[in-house]
Amino acid sequence: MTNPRYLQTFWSSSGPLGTLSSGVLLVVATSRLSYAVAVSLSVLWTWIVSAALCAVSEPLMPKRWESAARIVATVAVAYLFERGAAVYSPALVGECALYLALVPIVLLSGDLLRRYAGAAPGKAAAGAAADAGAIAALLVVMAIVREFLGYGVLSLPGPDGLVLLFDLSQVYPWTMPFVSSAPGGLVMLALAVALHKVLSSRAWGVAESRRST
Amino acid sequence: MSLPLLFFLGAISANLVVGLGLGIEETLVSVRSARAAFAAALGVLVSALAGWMLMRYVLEPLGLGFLKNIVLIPLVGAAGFASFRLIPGLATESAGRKGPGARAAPALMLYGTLGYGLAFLALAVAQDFASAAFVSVGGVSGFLVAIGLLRGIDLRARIEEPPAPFEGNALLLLSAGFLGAILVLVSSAVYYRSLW
Repeated sequence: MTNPRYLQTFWSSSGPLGTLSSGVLLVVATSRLSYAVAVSLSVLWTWIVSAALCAVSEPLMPKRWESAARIVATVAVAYLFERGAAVYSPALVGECALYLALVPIVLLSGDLLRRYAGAAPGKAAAGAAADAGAIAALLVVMAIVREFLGYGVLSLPGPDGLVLLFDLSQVYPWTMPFVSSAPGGLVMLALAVALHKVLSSRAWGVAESRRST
Repeated sequence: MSLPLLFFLGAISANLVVGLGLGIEETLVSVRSARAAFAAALGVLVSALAGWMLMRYVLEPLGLGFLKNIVLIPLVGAAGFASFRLIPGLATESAGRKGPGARAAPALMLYGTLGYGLAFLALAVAQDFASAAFVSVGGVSGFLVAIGLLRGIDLRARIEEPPAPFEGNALLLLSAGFLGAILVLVSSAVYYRSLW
């Protein structure tokens, strides 16, 4: 698996969707829309606040402890979101505990905070918002597809866990529970990556032919 | 739950790599030899057991179990860094990686999701150290088996190339998804057999 082609997942080879480092969130947190919404909010909060915090504290930080400080700060920021969300919906946070815990791990393991190193806090926060927004949007879109195909319903976070927006499982008999399972999530993500490759290669081909004419 | 069943749970039913997609890219891109795979498995095992012991024997008796994430994630990272220092060659093997994460925290990249996921699983099902050890050893066995199978598929794909859209990550994800589905079927069969 050393071929560089393995490193490209969606777009931007150095962005969070360029590799599979955020793929785990796209698989585990998109089985239900309610989980995806909670995780998306956590991604936005953790990415933006951590990037701004690291940008502000960068000049004060000894280089030797930079990585450790970044880990502690990011985990603490994500933890604050989890506690805040638990006030609104303890049941949902209980169900999503693993997924919410993976948010800072994904941010740290993809080394994404280094992308904003040296930037002013405002610019770092804006860059983080763009990256996190892309992941959050993909999370929500994948969750809508998977939950509808898997269960025939769509859910949103509610104080007692999740609230069903609608339930078509009685009138729509072709639900495929496999799509909502974790292996089904891996297959759906594979199909999404393949579809992106087809569309991007077609768009590139169209641009090339326009250029040549 | 009996100890063999806990091992089965960690290795097959709750296989973190092909069942949940934890650390797929990190392990397959960074771990490039059998030696590195075993070293990574050892690091994951140590970090998961250390996390379980810290939670069960220190934080929970003190009523500080709610600090799980704040404590476990840095601990997993520290165990990963220690493994990279203690196991010669592992850091250099993952140094050739390009893209985000190439320069920093390769340990967290490798161990973060897997180590934390395994500690999370052990905390959910294991009440004593023996149970936690069986779940964790099962988990890392499943990790090694998953790596072996996915590498085999990758080698095969180099001989007979798949359609262009499915090259690379797409094939990796698709393979993991179908392997995960097979493991779910095996788990269901074992579960129903245990009921009869």
